[in-house]
Amino acid sequence: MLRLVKIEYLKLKSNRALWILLGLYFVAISAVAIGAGAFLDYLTAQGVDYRGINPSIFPIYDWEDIYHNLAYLASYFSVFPAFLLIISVSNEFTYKTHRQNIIDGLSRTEFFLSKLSFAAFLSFVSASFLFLLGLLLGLINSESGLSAFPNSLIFLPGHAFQLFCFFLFSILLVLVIRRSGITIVLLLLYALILEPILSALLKWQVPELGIVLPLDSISSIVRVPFSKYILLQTQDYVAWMDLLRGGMWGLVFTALIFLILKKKDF
Amino acid sequence: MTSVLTISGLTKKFGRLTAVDHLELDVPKGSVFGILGPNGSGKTTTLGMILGVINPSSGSFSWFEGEKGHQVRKKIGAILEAPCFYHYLSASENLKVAATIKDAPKHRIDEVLDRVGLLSRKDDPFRSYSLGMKQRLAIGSALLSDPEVMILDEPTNGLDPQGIAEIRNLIIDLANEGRTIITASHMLSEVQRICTDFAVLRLGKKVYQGKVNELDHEKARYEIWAEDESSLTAALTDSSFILSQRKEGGVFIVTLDKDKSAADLNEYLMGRGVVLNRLIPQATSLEQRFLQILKAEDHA
Repeated sequence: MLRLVKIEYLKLKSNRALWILLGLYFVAISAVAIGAGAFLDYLTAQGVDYRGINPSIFPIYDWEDIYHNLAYLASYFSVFPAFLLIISVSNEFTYKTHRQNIIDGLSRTEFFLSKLSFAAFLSFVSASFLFLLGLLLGLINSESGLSAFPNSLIFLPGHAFQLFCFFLFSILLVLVIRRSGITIVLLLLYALILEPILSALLKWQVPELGIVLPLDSISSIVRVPFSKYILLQTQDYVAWMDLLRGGMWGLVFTALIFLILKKKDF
Repeated sequence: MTSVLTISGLTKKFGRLTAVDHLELDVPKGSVFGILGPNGSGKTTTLGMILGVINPSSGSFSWFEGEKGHQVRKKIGAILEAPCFYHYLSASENLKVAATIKDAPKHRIDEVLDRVGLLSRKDDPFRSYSLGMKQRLAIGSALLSDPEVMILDEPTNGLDPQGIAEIRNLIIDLANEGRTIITASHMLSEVQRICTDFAVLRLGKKVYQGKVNELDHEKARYEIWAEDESSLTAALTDSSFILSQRKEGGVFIVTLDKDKSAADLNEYLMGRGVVLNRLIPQATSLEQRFLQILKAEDHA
């Protein structure tokens, strides 16, 4: 397995576009995460208040919820590493190197595993990054003591799993479409427009099937955290049901990816 | 004789089209085996199947008398169609990927780059390479695992004469080291110069398989020339065993009776007082044979 990750790393380590995407992802998350606190302070300074509470006391960096907040925030930027994966797969088709890999002695299953293990590796890297960012922000700002530190850590594996399932969806899409540009456009179109419309229609017409669509299911693993600050009931844990629902889609994508790589002529 | 590759009943259908049709083929160890055929005769599809990139519709093949599966490909060096590398990686980075896949030791990378004459350009990105260099890099990559068998699909396609000569010499050297080489080509003169065996495919079927040097026995043709051209012409016309003569450029091409040799021709001409400056046996060209085979098939 390590050999497969290494092969993927050797393919990608000097591809500038990929490093830029990864950099953008980390910078964007850090900027928003750090900026949010400053923004709340700014709102307070402007005299904004909500039912007598001034925004700067929202404990967004508290150990109690920092990893929930970060995991949710990161989900908005998950398209960056997804683009990275899409490019890495479509490059193979453009250069016909997927073919050469097989000729050189990789099995189709190994090719499949090398892409999947790279997706898993990226999810792990992302979760590790959030861990460090949270650690830094929490140490500086948390009102609760260190004993509360583990309280929201569960969202890190939750985040990694959610990201991995989203990666699977992206890989499936690029395997079908084969061209990175069109895949990226379609992914955005589907994620930002098509599925939200479908989802709204579904929730309106057949409410019991409200959250069966793939991206909706996947993204509900880490639920919206901020509602708790306006004293609404908020799911501040990773629910087994949500993991199962997202995981089912992940399994479907994995099976389809495997089938395509196994059956199609390269 | 041991074989490195045995193909039996191999078939590939693309929808209604049958690209390869119950192909039977046996490649003997140590041969330089040319697979010939017009465009669309199934050469590349056949190579694609034995290299695992195309799934056969039916039939089977095995390497080294019984080995199957993807592990065996690590012991084979192969290029299918154009050289395929990551454009943004340098030559040595590309070979690192291939070596990791093939489980070949790292020190082989510089060795093969040196062998194909690219060591000094090893850190340049692949996209900056000329076609000839790309083709040589592909052969270098195929050599990483020091393979017993090499498969080269159209290795001289698109190259200039110098590039063709370089690749040809490389292939001859590789064959002389005892490697079995399977090559598909429609450059028949190239195949004739390097191959020991050949098979002809037509519409996905094998229509002929034979040895290149046996082509010579079928007809004896010689290229001759003497300073005294008029005596030579006279002598050639008078002879009973010279079946045909024809002036091509500055030389004469003559065809002899099957049981006559170059020595007979030489002796006869000396008897007539004609001293030859040139006497070169001409192999029956593979091209002629190839066209004959295809023509016979068309009529069949």
